Amino acid sequence: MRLPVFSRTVRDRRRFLFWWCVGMALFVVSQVSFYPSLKQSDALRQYMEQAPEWMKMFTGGEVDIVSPVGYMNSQFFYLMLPLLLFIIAIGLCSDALAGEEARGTMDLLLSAPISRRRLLLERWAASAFLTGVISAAFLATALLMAAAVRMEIGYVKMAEATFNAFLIALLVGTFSLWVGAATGNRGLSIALGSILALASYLLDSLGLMVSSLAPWRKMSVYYYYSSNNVLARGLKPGHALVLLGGIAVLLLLSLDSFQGREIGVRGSTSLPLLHRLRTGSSASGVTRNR
Amino acid sequence: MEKVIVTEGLTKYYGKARGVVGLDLEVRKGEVFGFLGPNGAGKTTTLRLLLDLIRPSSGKAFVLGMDTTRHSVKIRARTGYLPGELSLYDRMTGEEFLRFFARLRDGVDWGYMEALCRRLEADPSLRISSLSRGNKQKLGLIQAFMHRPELLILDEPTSGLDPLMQQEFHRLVEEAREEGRTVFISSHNLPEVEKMCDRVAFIRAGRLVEVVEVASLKERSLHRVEVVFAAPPPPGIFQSTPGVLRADQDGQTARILVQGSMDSLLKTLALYPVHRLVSHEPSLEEVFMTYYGVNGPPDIPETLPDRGGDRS
Ligand SMILES: Nc1ncnc2c1ncn2[C@@H]1O[C@H](COP(=O)(O)OP(=O)(O)O)[C@@H](O)[C@H]1O
Ligand SMILES: [Mg+2]
Repeated sequence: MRLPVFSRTVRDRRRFLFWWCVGMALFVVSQVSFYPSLKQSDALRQYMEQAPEWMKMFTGGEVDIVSPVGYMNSQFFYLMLPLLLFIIAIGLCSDALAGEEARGTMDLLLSAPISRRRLLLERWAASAFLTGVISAAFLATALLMAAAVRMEIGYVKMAEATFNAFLIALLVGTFSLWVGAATGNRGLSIALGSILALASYLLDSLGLMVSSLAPWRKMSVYYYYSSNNVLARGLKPGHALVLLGGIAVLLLLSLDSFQGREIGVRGSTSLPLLHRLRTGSSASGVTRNR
Repeated sequence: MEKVIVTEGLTKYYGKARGVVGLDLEVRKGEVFGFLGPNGAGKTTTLRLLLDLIRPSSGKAFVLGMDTTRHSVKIRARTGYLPGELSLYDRMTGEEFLRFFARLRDGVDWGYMEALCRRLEADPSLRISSLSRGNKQKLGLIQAFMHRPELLILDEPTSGLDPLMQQEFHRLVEEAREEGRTVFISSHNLPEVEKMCDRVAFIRAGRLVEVVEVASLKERSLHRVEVVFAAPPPPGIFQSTPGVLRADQDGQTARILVQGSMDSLLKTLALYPVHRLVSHEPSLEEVFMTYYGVNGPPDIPETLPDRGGDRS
């Protein structure tokens, strides 16, 4: 099968890919190389044992940061890895459609005989692929470094935890893609994607601390990423399915919106599904102009 | 006769802003069709509707016999398009760009592509961000012509091209016509359209004003003539001169609007000592005002009640 848009997008992003992989690897090296000295330091252990409750928010409720799992979680999986992958996925997915439109090249691209559905899917797949390669670069470096400092950690669990982070990042990215597909507005796509990521992280973390918020935790997509300590217990199929399902739904919404998108018309929003639900009609390609 | 483009009451509003209104148009197979109107008339809107980049508010459009909103991919496979506000991928070289678009289409003859590059003097090895506007326009044109499409939809194709390249472009259009292909060109330049096209549609303020054969246009072509006399002539000397639509005399200078042949004007002028004589092509606005304006000759207000368009 020929995938001209997919392969072109990946090629255009080869520098981006290279530097993110390098950056990710350097980040992992710098963090993991501290591990041996940290392990020997009792001071930190004591400090963490007396740490106030709110500190847990930044280590994902994990007070132990000296065991291999605790260390990996606190350094990467609770915040930094998903955060970096959010930045990557939001950047790629907001550029995939809204960026193309903002640069004015969408007219030419869509004058070629390629359907909007196919363009969207190839662009999305390229974004997912690039995010996946950077995740894999993280995993590879982390495993190598763990071996180098004799940190005992399961390869499979590490892969599962990394895949888990990749999934939540792809979900947030696909949300950005949808905003871009509906509005053609790159800034809005980045902003709303970031807000989704931040809000769901805060809701999940605060839910852990504040008991009155606890019932709301499950409303946050981040809950399905973070609540199960994947590095210790492995990926929970139910949670992974929620993330995958969320990605699928957002992808369908993106296709629906992009189908009705008025290319290059600022301030117009394409939400055909919403329109159908409201009017009960089955007309497609309805776009509202402001 | 086979129709390549048909629009039926095609209407596009951007929110409340008018794009085009009730456009009924037919372009025949094998003709070079000009779509002429001043800026903001709705040309780009119409072309982008044909490409399914935007959707009609009402009405329909058919290209190569297919509904534009339902069979767009099939239509685009057989069409070449040059956007009005051309943006290219700045970080690619010309060759990367052309190869990418060739891959999106089937059956692009690379030899023909190279011939097009030579003819338009485009250097595809250069990075697009380093190109001038005219050189980008050439890449856009090559991209539109490279697969020898049955239909070319070109939005202000000569903008940014130098005169030599404009001539080469005219030859490309001529070749397409000879091969029986159809060319739909938007422009705001009447002389250019007269040179290339078989028929012209005039569009103004979103409405179709008239569709005419170019041959018939030439008979009623307008010229603006400015004469400086050696000594002020008596007033009203052009009053009975055939073809003179309007004459403003101001001392030694006279500004005259002539339609059709200039012969009578020259014979009148021959009676007086002429110091200098300049003739201009009229602006499109003047042509519109003269042909379709309420008060006839130009220098009437910007907006004019739409006459020809009330047909939907
Ligand atoms: N994206 C848009 N949003 C709002 N109004 C638009 C848009 N594009 C064009 N218009 C309006 O539609 C009218 C026709 O514009 P256009 O089709 O670009 O004319 P032309 O190509 O003949 O210069 C203009 O009044 C213009 O302001
Ligand atoms: Mg235009």
